[in-house]
Amino acid sequence: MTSITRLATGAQSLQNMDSVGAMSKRMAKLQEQISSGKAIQRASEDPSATRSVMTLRAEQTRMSQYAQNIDNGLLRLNATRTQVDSINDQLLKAREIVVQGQATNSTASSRSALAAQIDVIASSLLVAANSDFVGRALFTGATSADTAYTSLGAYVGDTNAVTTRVDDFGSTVRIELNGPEVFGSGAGNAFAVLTSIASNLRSAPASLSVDLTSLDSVITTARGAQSTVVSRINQLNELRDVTADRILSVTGALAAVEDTDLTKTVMELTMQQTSYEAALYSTAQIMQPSLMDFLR
Amino acid sequence: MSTWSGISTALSSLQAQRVAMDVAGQNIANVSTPGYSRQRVDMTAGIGVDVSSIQRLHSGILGDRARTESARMGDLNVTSAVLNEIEGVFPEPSSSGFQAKLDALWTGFANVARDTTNAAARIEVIAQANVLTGWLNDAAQQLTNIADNHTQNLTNLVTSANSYAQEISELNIAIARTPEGTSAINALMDQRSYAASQLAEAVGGTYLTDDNNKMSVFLGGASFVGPSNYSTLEVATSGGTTSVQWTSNDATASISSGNASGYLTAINTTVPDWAATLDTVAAALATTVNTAQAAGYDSTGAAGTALFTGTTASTISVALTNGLNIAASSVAPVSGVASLNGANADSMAALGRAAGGPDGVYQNMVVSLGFATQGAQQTSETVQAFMAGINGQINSESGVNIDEEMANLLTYQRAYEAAARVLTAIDDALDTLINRTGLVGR
Repeated sequence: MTSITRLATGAQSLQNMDSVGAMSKRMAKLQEQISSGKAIQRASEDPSATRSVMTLRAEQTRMSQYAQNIDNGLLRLNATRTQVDSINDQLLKAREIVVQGQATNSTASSRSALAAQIDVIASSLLVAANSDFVGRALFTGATSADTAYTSLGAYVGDTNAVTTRVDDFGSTVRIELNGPEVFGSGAGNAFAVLTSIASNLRSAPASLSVDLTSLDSVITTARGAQSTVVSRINQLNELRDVTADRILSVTGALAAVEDTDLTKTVMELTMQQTSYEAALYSTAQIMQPSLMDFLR
Repeated sequence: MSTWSGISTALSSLQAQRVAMDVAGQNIANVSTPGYSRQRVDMTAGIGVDVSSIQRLHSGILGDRARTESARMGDLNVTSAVLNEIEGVFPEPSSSGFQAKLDALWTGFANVARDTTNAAARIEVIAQANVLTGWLNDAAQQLTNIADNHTQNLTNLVTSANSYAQEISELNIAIARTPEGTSAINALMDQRSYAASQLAEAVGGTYLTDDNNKMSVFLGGASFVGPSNYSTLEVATSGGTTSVQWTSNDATASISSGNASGYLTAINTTVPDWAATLDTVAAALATTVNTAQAAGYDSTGAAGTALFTGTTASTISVALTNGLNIAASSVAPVSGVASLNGANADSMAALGRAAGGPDGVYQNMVVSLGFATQGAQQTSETVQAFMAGINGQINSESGVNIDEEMANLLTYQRAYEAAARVLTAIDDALDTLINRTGLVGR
């Protein structure tokens, strides 16, 4: 700007009005930042920070989805674990009965009583196999069938996995066990073995040793299922901690980008107020007098 | 030397000081009149004093520069204001903007994935999809409204430009009829340069004043105001393009600056460009979600169908009404029994991060719009500061300073009193000569 040697009265007051107006605009901006708590009101104020805010917000939403996924998976796996524990207990009880049946002092009538106990265990296992969690069967795989096993012990579910996503990289954790994974598959499954045991107790005790071998393999499968479910629960528990940490750090990053730095903003506002008042005062001083005040 | 010459000398001074006081009064009266140039009395010594002319203190070069800059500023101000309006359609960052609505859709899919038998979660996805399409439709409509508003603004602007052109033309004639060096012609010339500055801010143009003190205005080589005539402009829209054309021959007028240029850019380029970008957001949303739907199976076991129809912001809508049709499962039904698998819903929940997904496209749009708006504001502020400098120079040359006028008034008043004193002195002298001479010894 070239220097102005001669100052017109109208221009002088216009200039004063301009600078006082600009100051009050800056003050309004600072006040908005303080009252809204947000440093950025519009994308044009800081386009790069706007992108960060948008991506961080989306990440925050996704992280809380994962946290919910993990909680839901834990609930389901814990329900599965309860059932698998009881299934294991019952299978062990069945094994004891078979051993009793094999004992040399066992009689036909005592074996018949043992067979009745095996029938009870079999039906109780069927109830466990068809148990559900919040309305959805636990051991059916991914099918929408209501039950996993028919009353004859045939598996009607599928072997598709039910998984839940736990992070941005697409990692998933299985949150179910299907029937065959717990009870064994095909002719060697728990129900077929128990049926065979019951019938052999009643009519062919000599074949019980074969049944015992089959039952042991069923028990091994069930034990495997037990340790699988426990290890998945542990995995999800760890992931829950990781996700909670991640949510904290994303929230912190978001606050750093979009929240008003209150101390700094309030100090700036105070400084603006001081200079605003000074400008108003000096404007009042400059604009009042003219030569007219001093002529007669 | 004539006996009476002293009287006429005093008289000429009395008259000249009166004129000078009138001019000072005129200056003070117009201290806040926009476009007013201060006037100064030029006196020359002859027998006594003569008022040779009343000068208008005005720099033609500064006036030209001010017109050029205000035309540029007019263009940039409109551009910046339009971008601000467009930015207002996309309120980001916010917890209620489109990004938050997208996040809600992805969360909806995640809820379905978590429990595919949850009917409420499925209904929620459909509802959230409707919120998204509703927002997109509304944003497209708002962009159309912005363009429509500015077309109306352009029409009003062209009407006022026509009346300024007429005013300049009429003032050309009036100035030619008014004698030079008078207050009257100065006032007319002030009015004309004020009208010219208004016209420059509106439509830009080149301004020339010829030897006969007639102002001509050209728009890109075509005459808008000539020495004795003027043309008129009108707004025309054809084939989706809005232009300003001459009423006489429907030829497109060349407008490269001024508010009109800003409006034309907004209507023909800026708004359609951002509307097209918004369409890419809608297309990304429809394409990514529909593709993911097609990869899965709904809760009846049927293959998934498109969730969205339409691929532009104004036409996109939700095709599904039943939440059961969300293709949550990635597994085909096994022997007729639908799978409760939620892997496909899970994939859809992750679409927010997908390359080419709506989130990324929308974020890029908001950020580039932010940069464009910021840039336009900064340029506009720079030109405004530059303009303030030029106005300062003009004011320094042509503005009225009351102190100065008061000092002048004081000078002229004292000069008037002194001239009256001279007259009294001459009168006394003549009285002595006529009435008191030759009475010695009487």
